[in-house]
Amino acid sequence: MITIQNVFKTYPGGCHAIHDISLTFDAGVYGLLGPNGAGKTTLMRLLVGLLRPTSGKIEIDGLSLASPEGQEHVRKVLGYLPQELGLHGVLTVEQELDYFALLKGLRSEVARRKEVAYLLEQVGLVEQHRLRIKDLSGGQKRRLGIAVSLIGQPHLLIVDEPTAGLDPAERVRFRNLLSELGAEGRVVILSTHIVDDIAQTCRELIVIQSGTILFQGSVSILTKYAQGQVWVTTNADEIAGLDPSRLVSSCQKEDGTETRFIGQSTPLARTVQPTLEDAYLLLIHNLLRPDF
Amino acid sequence: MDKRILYYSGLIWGKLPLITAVGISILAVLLACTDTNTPVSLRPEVTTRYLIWVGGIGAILAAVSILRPESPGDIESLATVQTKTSRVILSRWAIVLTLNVVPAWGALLVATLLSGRPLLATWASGAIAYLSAIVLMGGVALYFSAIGRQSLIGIVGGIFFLLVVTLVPIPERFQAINMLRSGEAWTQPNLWWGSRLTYISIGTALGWMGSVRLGDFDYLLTGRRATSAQSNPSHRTTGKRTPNLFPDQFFAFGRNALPLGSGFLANAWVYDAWQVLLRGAFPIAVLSLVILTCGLACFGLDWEIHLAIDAPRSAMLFGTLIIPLLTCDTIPAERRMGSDQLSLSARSLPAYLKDKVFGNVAVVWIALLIGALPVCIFYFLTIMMDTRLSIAALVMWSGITLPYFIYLTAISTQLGALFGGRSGYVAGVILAVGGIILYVLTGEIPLLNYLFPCGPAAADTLFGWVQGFPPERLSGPSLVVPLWTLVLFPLSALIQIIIFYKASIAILLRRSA
Repeated sequence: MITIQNVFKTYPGGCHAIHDISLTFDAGVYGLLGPNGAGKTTLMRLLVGLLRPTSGKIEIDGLSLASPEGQEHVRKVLGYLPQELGLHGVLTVEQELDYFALLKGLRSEVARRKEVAYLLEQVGLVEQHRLRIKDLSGGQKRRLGIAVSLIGQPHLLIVDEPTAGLDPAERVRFRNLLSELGAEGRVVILSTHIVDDIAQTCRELIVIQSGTILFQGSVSILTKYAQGQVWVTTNADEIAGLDPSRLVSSCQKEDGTETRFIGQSTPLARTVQPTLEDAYLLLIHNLLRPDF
Repeated sequence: MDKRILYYSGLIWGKLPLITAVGISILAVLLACTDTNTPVSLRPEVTTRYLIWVGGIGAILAAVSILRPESPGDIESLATVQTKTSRVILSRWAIVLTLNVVPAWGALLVATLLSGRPLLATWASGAIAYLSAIVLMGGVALYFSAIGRQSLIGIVGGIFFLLVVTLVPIPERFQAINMLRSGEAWTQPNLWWGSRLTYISIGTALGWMGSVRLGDFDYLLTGRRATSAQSNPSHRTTGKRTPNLFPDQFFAFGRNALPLGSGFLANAWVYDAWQVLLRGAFPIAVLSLVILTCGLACFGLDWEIHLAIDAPRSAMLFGTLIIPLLTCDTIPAERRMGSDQLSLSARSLPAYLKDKVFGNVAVVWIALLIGALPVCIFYFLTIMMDTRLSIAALVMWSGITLPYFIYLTAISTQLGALFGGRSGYVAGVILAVGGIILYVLTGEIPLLNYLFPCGPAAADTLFGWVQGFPPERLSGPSLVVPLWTLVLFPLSALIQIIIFYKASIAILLRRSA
């Protein structure tokens, strides 16, 4: 279990990336959503011990991350997939996994071989295991990064934009993998801009903006709040009068361009079932109903 | 540490030390076999000096490559490693040191064997001198890289340190403390061994402190040393990170705020030069400072001759080491940043390459101007009436040094382009090592002076001409009169640049087809 209590993170120069955040993560998959620069990566770096909070407390399995024991513990139980992969181009896929397994503390060669074979299978890189990393495609590198983060069957898995660059089939495969890991009793924290990944995978969602939490709860609850606030219309005049930030999508239909928008209705618009994306946009544009 | 970890670390970080090792081995054998200006019995010492220069550069580059503080990928990949990060970094450093030092010791052994001197004693002093210098250089670079949170600061800091310890004059009776000397091990043993021990201790201590700092991820990512969590911080409104540390600002100023609208500057190469200037103020400053130091580090020497001839000659020697490292990575860095659209949006591949070459040349020219101008002013203030020496100074700076720097810059930039998306520093090391080997060979082979127009033989000729000797009485290769040199050197450089440019374009076009 991870507990974050009143955490602040201030960068030199006085900018506050994280502003009084308190959270608890139990077993399951958690989604972290927010616009660019909201503080998601800072929060994840705080959780993995790369950054230290300016104030506040982070505990993992009851051990404070500020203590040496806590830092040692988090390295044991943690799997981390950063946004920017630090892979070594001269090594082959198999060697890279073996190298990270060694650094992770897997000393037995038999165990490492087994682990590497399992991970290659999991991320679909069996055929590429002898290829050098510099010769892999962008998507294959991302899959290798995912495999590295899964070394040692981590109890806590933190992944930053894991599906960026993956093809649809691989995305689905990885989402299922995350769900399985969550169901096995691990804590999985997924940060992404792909709202669909969160909708399909996460038990709970945290929306963060300007370093503060805007929403914490289940995907269905947030979507419920958006009921009656998502509309479609094909009337061009109505669309022209709308604030661009309220527009969600436009789609060519037989009877003209159907535009989906959020917030208050227009005379000719009809209401539709909200998605998580609609709810998220309502939330970050501060357009949810006052009872939210 | 597990032997597999050592093996993988060798694979990942061993390339630079191995290239250096090959380079210094060739250099050592060349010096031991062909250096006719030095008596055979003194060749091991001379070889050691050259090896420390070249090997020192290799040690600096290898040390900073083991963890680049500016790369979040490098840092974050260590987040889950079980071993303490500082230990991981120290073990990587030990590997690159070993890969650098052991082959150099082998090369020194060959040089000693060829000299006919007592094998063990001569070799041991050279080997210890080399080891202590390499540990010190690597430690300095690692430390600078860590505290500056930029591997480039480590490279430039290390090279500058090497330059300072090489150029600062030491009184004859204290020559035993000279980092480059090995012969004093037997004439002044206490001072010599004491200084070697000190260098190793300082290098190790700096390397250790650097590795501890590199293990402080909070510092690397934010620029502030992590102590304990601070209480009651004064919180203002939240916002994005805007690091305001000196090194960050120094490297990044103008990166996001180029005051250039499209069309403001007609030629892309001017824009490139402008961009290089803004982004690379620090390397430019260092190159200028190196040239200036070469000019002014002549206490105890003949002022006039030094300022007119020796200063540009030593600037060329250090330029051979530094310019490839500053310019080789220009195009690979852009590719690594994912800005392929820059090359794609250029009119054509040849135009893109030409713009980059011209941009870098303009910047190096500015650096040379900044560095050489005070030296020249000082020279004219010192001796205004000596016409021959004035002509010699003019020829050395504008006829030899400038074309040579342009030549090096153009070749380095193009060689970096041929390396594709890989690190241009590898190309830089190859060129720096190759350049030093050619530099040494130009003292032996007159014709090579025109093929590799670096100028030591021209400097010797000019020196003789200033002294009033007829050219046939000169000990070095005779290179015709200065005014001829003024034409021939730039011409040779220009022809080679054009040939290399055509060849690079042909290769790049074939590769992209």
